Amino acid sequence: MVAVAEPSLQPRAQALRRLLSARNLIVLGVSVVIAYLALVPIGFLVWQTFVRDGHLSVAAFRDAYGAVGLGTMVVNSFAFSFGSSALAIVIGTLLAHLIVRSDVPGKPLMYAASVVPLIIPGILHTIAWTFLLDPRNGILNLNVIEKLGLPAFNVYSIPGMILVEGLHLSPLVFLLMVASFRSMDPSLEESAVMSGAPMRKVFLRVTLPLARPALYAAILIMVVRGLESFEVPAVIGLRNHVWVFTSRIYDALHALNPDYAGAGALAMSLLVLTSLGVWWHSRLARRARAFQTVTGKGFRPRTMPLGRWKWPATALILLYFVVAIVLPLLTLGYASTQGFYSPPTHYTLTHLTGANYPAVFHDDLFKHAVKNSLILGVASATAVMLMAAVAAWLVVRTQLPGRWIVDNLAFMPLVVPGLVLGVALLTVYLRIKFLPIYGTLWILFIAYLTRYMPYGMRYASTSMFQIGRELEESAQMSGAGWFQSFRRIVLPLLVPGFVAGWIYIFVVSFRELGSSVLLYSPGREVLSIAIWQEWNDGLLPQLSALGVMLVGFLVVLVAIAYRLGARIGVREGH
Amino acid sequence: MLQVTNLVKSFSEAKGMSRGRVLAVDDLSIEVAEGELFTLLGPSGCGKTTTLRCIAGLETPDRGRIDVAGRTLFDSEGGVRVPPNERGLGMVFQSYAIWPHMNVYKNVAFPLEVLGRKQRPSRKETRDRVERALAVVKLDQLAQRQATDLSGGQQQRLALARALVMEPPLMLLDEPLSNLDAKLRDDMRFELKRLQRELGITGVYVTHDQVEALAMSNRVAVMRDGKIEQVGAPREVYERPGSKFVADFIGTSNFIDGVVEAREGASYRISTEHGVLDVPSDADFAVGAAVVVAARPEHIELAPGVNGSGPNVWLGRIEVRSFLGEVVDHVVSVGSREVRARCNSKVSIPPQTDVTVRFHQEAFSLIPAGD
Repeated sequence: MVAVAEPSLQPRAQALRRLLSARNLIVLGVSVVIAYLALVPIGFLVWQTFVRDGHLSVAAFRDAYGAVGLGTMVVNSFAFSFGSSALAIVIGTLLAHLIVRSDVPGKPLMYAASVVPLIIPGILHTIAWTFLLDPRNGILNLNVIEKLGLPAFNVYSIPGMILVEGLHLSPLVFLLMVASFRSMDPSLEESAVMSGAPMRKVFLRVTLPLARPALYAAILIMVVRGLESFEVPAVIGLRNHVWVFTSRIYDALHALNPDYAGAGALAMSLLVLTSLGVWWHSRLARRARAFQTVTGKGFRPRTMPLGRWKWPATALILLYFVVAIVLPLLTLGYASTQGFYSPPTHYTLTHLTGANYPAVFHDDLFKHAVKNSLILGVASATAVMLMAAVAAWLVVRTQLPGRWIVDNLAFMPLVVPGLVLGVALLTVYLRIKFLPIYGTLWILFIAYLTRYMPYGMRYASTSMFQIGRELEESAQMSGAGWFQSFRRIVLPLLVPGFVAGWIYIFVVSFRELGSSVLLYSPGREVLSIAIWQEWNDGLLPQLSALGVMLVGFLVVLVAIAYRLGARIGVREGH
Repeated sequence: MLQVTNLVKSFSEAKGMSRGRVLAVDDLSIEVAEGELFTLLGPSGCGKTTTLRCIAGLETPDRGRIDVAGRTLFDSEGGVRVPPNERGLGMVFQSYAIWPHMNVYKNVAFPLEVLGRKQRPSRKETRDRVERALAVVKLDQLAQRQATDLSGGQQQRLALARALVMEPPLMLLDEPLSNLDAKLRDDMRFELKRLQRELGITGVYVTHDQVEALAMSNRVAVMRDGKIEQVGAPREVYERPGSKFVADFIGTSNFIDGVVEAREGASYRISTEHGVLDVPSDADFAVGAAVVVAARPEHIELAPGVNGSGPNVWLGRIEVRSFLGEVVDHVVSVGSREVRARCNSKVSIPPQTDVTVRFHQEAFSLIPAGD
């Protein structure tokens, strides 16, 4: 009997051992975590919203929408998001075309401006614009608009919200369109010129149609961004009761009796809208591949002389730079030097004080916030990148069936607005008793992990694609096992991408507000929350000082990230 | 040394809705003797690289058995599948796969450093072996150089050293010369051959370049659609192709359809549309059988003017000539067909000249009609 059993037993034991190898355990563990992060909160949200007392119900929707005045809110949301997208698209595309295809001077200024969303957190940008365009004492209103004899511009309105959000989004469009114009083979345009078409026709009939895929992508991303924006609707919109989805969700949870079901219903609607946007985009992108012009080759685009349009174009770029960067930063800097905020006059400008800066360091809120932000930034960036390295290996390198599922799951949180994720995580961890993480930093950690997983994945898989498969195979042929070749070949080669991704996540985690604002609890504030609270308390000079220091810190980090990013060729927007 | 028996490997067809499977390697068996350089030659998609990767263990075959030096590496029936890192074979990749984050020395030392604790050589022995391997490929002066600073040819030799350092029983070479420019490729071809013969390496060499295959191998297997079409010594395969595919893939040939008119031992008289050909052949064809005569252009002689007749002499007219340096190619129209003749550079006949086309007997091989 033994003699019969042995030969069949041995392969089976071998197969089992192979199944439980370090490689499979690590890959399986990471896949499970990714699936948990991507699916559980949203699944819970759906369940909590539709199931009431054990059966299906749309009562939450009825209540939420009944109370709100659905019509105006939806109209506001769309007006805001379409308006700001349109503004951002026009500015971004125009500037991108000028920068890539013309001999306009001042290009470095534009590239510097393109990192604005990274270095100026949305909340600071928005607050700075309230300083500039407040109807009563806005700096621009007092010093420019009224001097011209025009009525003051009221920023607390839909046009005001569109202006601020549009300016904040425009660098994103700029980056997307620069990439598209760059990757376009100039000979396509040159052959149109050789066919006798004048420049204007070349632009309309060849350049723009070729850029169409990128343009659609930009439009959709911006509309989704506008829908999920929280800072502008909260800081600007609420002053005059201009409600949109995000501010409603926030309001529902911060009423005297938090309405979780109502917030869930609103969050669900928002999620459906953003998912539709992303789904539509992926459909377009697939079709666009049919006339793919992005060959991956780096073309050196030919630049066209602008002639007499050179100086107006330069003025335009300069104006944009001043409006998008200089004014908000200058305003914050000015506000940080005041004992009590008021618009600049001869008196305030001659009575500057540096006292706000040291004061920040003595503030308990600040101390908490810095510590928590650093902990969360380091922990989530590290965890995301490690997870992404394994997941990217799984997706890019293996032939395992079902690896595309992991890929899609890792990218899924991209669709989920920060505020919706916040609502979802609240519903999960207020109910689940065996993971008592509500009220701790862990819940913020999970939120950041989820939100930044797609970014980490993108960095990791881009660099994974750059590592030839044969480098790993030759390690195997040299006798290295999976773990050895992952540790000694794959990880070292991933390092530049890994570090660039790490810094990127670290940086964006500092400006995260949408999820944090729902998930933090006293003592667990992060820096963006500290700014948010100080704004709510009217401590404008103090928050400005904090903001200026934060921006300085982020500038340094972003500079490092860009240097690394340029080296490995991963240089993408956001 | 190497036995591959009834190897089958299929891939699922990813394209379209049909979820069929494509046979990349179709019931293939080969045997390679010790010290032999065995070449798998064929067009892209013929399954030669897949076969090599199955031997390496980088692909898992569907069926079959692979033995190297008396050790079974894969056996679908016995459930044996040795992972690639435990096979101990040397492999040189098409892209060389030099690790860019290590220097030359570290690249070569890697296979020794990742050995299990028991087999791992001492530090000193590692050093000796690495230096010896580098010396063999003449890279010992560059040991501390960063691997990415090497030229293409040097990287190629580094990849070879890395495979050699393990002293593997079998070396797998996946188009190792295809990334080099033409001149360097010629030099490396001789270099690689010299090393292989001197060190007595047993190797399986994959290439789509017939010149490379003929120049380097002890034996060549011409592959097509996952099967071996013909195996033999280079000269044998070149001079006596067994099928139209082989004759066409290795070198160039004129294919002339005909019928066996008479046979006398190993000598055949073939009647064709344009004249009679006397063709020597070992192959066995009955009188009346449809055959194809493959004629190598370099054994076809052209002479201006119309003189001579009889078997193996046709009359034609020059259509095009092209000067290729060492030789001059002529395309001659004979009746409704064209014959390509390759002459030495002294012979150059202007177009529209009437010529006599004389086939030498060594130009011919006799192939069954059909593919």
